Amino acid sequence: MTEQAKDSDRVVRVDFNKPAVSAQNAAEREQERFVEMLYRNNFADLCRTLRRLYGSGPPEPEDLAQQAFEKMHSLKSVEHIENPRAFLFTVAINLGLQSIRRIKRARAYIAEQLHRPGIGLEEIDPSRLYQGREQIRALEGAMATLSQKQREIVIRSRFHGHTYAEIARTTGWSEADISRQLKAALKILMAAVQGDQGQPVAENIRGEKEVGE
Amino acid sequence: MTQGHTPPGKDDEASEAARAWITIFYSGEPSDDDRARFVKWLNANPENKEAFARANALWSNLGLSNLVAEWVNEPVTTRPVVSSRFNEMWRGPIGAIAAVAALVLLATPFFWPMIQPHQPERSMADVGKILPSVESQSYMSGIGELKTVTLNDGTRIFLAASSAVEIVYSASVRRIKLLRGSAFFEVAHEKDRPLLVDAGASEVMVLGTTFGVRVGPNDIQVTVSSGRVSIAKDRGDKVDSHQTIVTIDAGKHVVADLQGEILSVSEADFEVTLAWLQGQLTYDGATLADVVADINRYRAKRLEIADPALSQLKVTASFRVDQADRFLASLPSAYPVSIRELPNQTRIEAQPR
Repeated sequence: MTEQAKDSDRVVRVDFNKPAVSAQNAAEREQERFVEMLYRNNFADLCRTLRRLYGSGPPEPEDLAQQAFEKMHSLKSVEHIENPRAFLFTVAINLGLQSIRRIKRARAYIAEQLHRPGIGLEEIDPSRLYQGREQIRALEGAMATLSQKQREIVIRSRFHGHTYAEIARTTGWSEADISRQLKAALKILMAAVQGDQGQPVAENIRGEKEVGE
Repeated sequence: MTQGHTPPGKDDEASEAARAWITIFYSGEPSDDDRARFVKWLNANPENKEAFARANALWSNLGLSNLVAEWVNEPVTTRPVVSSRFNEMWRGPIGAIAAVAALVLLATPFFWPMIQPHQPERSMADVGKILPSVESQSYMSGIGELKTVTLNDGTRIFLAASSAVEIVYSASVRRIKLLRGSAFFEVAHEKDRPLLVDAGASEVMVLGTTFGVRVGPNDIQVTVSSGRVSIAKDRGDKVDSHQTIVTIDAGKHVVADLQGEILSVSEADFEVTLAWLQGQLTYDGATLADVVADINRYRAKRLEIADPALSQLKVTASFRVDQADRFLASLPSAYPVSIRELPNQTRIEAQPR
């Protein structure tokens, strides 16, 4: 976030008699200042995105955004997050999905069936992002190769948390077509992930530990 | 690449079934019967379980991309809303024509906004908010009031407090004058009818985009959050006279002086310039004069800067619009000023040192 740091340096602050900050507090304050800056620069935008995805709630977009920032605050360090704004959005969107009962139930059920209760695939933290980065890059590349329609169906399904029926209602496409397109899209994405140089995604996920606790 | 789980290039039955299950769980509404079949399938052999874990991990990892925020904000396909009245019409003699028209619209969503205002169901739904189509009309918001106006072309205007706009739509051009204050525009795309926003001596021309405009005491500011706009000096009412000085893309912030000369083009800091949409006033190195002008739009008792030298004081602050008094109270601790309350106004004075 060098760009933001620069932005704040540009500001002429009128400070008088400010006590010197002790070195030990400096890092902590720096992190706090950083999250604060992130908050100021992204809160409204994040709320707009959440409203677009999940409506006016409950939970209200502002509450979800707030929770996402609390999560950022609770991280020991944010230095190793490559793109804090993007991380913030993924955390908030995940919280939004968790607020949809159907999705929450599906996630819990799948985790249980895979005998990995507690290893929440839905838990997002910086180390998981770091470990999965090769696969994520491959997915990003493959997303760009999907047809417009496939892409939109993946996005609506994965991030809006919409069912076929809901997607059909909004777009006018048939449920059967949506189902077919989604499966075709997943096939393309899967091929991209397995074609990359890294290890299979499943291996990566299994090897991970829950971080943050 | 893969290490023995799935041979390269081979997309086996197990993988295909696994993907189908993923879509059933996340995008469908699985029945108890589905669950029973799933458990049986999953535990039938290790390959199935492995394939399902892989597909599930893929679905999960999609949510970790740095591009998620961009993906979810991409333009989407929207189906026309069909009212019961429209349904009746559908069955009538003109049903056949309407059906053809609807198919064309679905196939080419791009043209949908152009035709939308003429759809009967829409004027039924929004009749209270919609303007007559070729007329001048003004809207203003009071002190402390945020107002949203929806125009008949689908364009929405979010007015900050104490702001005013005048709207003149004709067949060839949509013109909105920002008389004072700030407004955020969500412009409905019309290929053949540009929308012009006049602010001070500047003119902003767009086809369809979202952006904010602010008329300040010393300058005009434009922040573009999506699409692209062009800015010119305001030379009158003709679109032809729009002589672009600068074209700015999403993510940019432009400052022009009151004569319409461009002073700067920089990266937009949306949450500073558009924070008021959330009822928040946020400043990063803004002048005290700007902050005071904004506060006055939300505060009944007038706020004045007593000493002109203070006007250019740089302020970094963020507060809710209804907490301007708290901000004022804290001002003397951070800046060399004092606050004096008079019966009809509040004055910010230079602090005697």
